[in-house]
Amino acid sequence: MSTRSTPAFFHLDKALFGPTATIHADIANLAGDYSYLTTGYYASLEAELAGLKVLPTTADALDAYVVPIAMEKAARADLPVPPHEIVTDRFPPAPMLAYPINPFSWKGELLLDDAAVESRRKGLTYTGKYAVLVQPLPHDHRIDVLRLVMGRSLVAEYTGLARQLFEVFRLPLMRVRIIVTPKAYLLSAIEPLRFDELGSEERACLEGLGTWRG
Amino acid sequence: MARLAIFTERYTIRSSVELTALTNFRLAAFEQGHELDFLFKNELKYLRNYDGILIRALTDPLNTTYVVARTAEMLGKRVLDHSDAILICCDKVNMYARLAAKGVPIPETRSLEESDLSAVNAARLLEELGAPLVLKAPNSSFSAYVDKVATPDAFVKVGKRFLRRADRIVVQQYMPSDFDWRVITLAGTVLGVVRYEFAPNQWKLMDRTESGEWAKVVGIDVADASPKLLQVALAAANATGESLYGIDLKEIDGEFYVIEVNEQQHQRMVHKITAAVGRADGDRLDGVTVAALGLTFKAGTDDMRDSPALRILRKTQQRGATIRAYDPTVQGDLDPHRATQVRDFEIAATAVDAIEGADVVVVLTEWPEFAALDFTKVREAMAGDTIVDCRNLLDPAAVRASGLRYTGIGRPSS
Repeated sequence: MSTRSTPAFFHLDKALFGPTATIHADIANLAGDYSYLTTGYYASLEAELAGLKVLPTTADALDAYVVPIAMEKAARADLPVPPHEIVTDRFPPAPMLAYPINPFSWKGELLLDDAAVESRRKGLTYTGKYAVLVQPLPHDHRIDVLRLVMGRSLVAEYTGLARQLFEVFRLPLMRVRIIVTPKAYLLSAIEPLRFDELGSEERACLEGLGTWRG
Repeated sequence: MARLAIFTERYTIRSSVELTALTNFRLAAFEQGHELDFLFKNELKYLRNYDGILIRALTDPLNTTYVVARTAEMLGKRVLDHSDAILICCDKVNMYARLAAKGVPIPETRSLEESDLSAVNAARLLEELGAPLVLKAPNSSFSAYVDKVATPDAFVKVGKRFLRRADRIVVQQYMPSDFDWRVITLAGTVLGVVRYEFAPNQWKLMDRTESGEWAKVVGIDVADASPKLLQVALAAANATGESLYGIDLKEIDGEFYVIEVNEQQHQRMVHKITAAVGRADGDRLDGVTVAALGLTFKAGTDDMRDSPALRILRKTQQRGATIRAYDPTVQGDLDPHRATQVRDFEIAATAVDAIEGADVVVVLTEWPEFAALDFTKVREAMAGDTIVDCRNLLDPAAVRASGLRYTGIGRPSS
C-alpha cells in the first residue's frame, strides 16, 4: 500500500480526564467525519494498520454512526436511549425520528404527523427493501443538537453527558442529537462534526489537550 | 439443544438454489435436535431469544447484516459472520492491507485517493505493475465496479467513476487465467474447494458471453486439491478475522495468489480448548477450569484492548468454563477500565497459581516466561494433561517430554 499525506492527527500527551482516565490512545484522528470509506475513515484505518491506538477505530466509527448499534451500545453503558424499533413497513404513530439503515443514505428525518409518515415511508425504506430505525417521540419534548470536542461541550448543562458519550463512543468530534424530555436526556443519534466546522472556542479547547502532529 | 436463527433477506430466498440450501441447513439443525428459525430485518427485536445466528444475506457495514452481527456480539451470542470480518472483507483497501501484512501472496496492490489520480501517476503504475491493470472500488461485490484498464486515460476515467463510491480505489496487477479457485474455510478447516471456469473469453465470474454462457462451477474433492492452495487459503482466512470464508485464488505457474476473501475464526481456539478436555465440539464446558496464560494482545505491553485472549476466554466462559488467568501486567490494584475488562475471570498472582488444578492450560500471549516454565511441575500441578498453545510460543518437544500433550496452531498435535 502506498503512503499518503497524513490528515490532521492529534497527539495526546496528557491524560484526558485526570487520574481516572478510561480512554487510552496514541493519537486522535480529528477529521470529524469518520463515515465508512471516507478520507476520515481511512485515516483511522491506516493508523490501526500501523499498530497505533487511534481514536476512533474504524469499528468505533461504525458503532457510533449506525443508529441501532449506537442504541444497544449506549443502553449497555447505562446511557438513556429513547424507545426504538427497526421497521420496514409498519411504522408506529407519529411523531417520530426515522434513521435509514442502508448504504445510500444516513440522514435522519423528523416525521411530525401521519401524513409525513405516509409520504416518506416508501422513500425511507426504498419500498420496503431496507430497514429504518424509528424512535417514537413523546409529546412533551425538545431536540437538542450537541457539538462535542474530545468529550467536552461548551454548554454547561451537558458537561456530564458529553464526557459519558465520549467514553462510550470514543469519537474525538461528534454531533449528537438528544431528545430532551421532562425526565431525561435521551441519545437519539451521533453524526459527523467536521474539523472545519469548529469555532474558535472549540479549537482553543482542543489546543489545551495535546499537540499537533504532521 | 440450541436455539438458532438464520438472518436472511427476501432477495436471498427468492433464489431457488438459496432457498434449498437454507432449508437443507434447517433440516440438518432439526436432525441434530436444534431449533432453527429464519429471522427477517423487521424481527430483530427477537435476536436476543437465540443462542447463535448465521447471517445469510449481503454483508455490508452499512446494511442490516452488520447491525445483526454487532448486536449479537454485544448480547454475547455466537454469530457468523463476525462484525470484524465484515468490516475487513467489505473494504478491499483494508482486506489487501491485512493480507499483505501477514505475508499472504496477493497480486501487486496499491491504493489511491482522489488527489493521487492523474494521468502521470496512472502511466507510472502501468509501467511499474504492467498493463493492463485491474481497478476496484473498495466496496465492490460480485465483480461489479471491477474493471481492466490499459491506458492512463482509461485509468483516470474509470478511477473517477469508482471514486464516487468511496474515497479510495484499489489498483492491482492483472493475472490472466481461465479459472479461479474458491476455497471455503471455517475455523481453520477447509470445508470445500470449487473451480470457477469462466465463460469463453471472459475474465470475471459474473460475466457471460453474448450467447449467454456463464462460468461453470466445478466441485473438487478437498483430498485432491493442491496442499499449497489450501495452505495459502487458510493463511488468508487467518489474516482477516473470524468467519466462514470463501477465498478466491489465481493459480499462476504453480503459485497461488489470493484475489478475494469473502467472509461468511478465535472460534477455532475454543474448539481446541474443548477438544483438549475431551469434550465434543459444541459441548458445554461446565465444571472445566481453564488456566489462561496471558491476557494482553501481545507481550511487552499492558494493553488488553482488542486482545484476542479476552475474546477467546469470553467465548470459552460462555460455554460454562471457569477461567483462572495470569498475566504479568494484570496484577495488584487495576484501574477501573482494566478491572472491568477482566472482572469475569479469576486473576492469579503467578503462572503456577493459575495452573494449579486446571483441566487445561492455554497460552494466549507470547510472554517469554511461559516458554521457560518447568513443564514437569506444570504436569504435576494441573488436573488435566494438555497445553493449548495459541501463540506457538512453546517448544512442543519440551512440553511432550514432561508427559503433557501439546496442541499448537498449524502444528501437529499429540
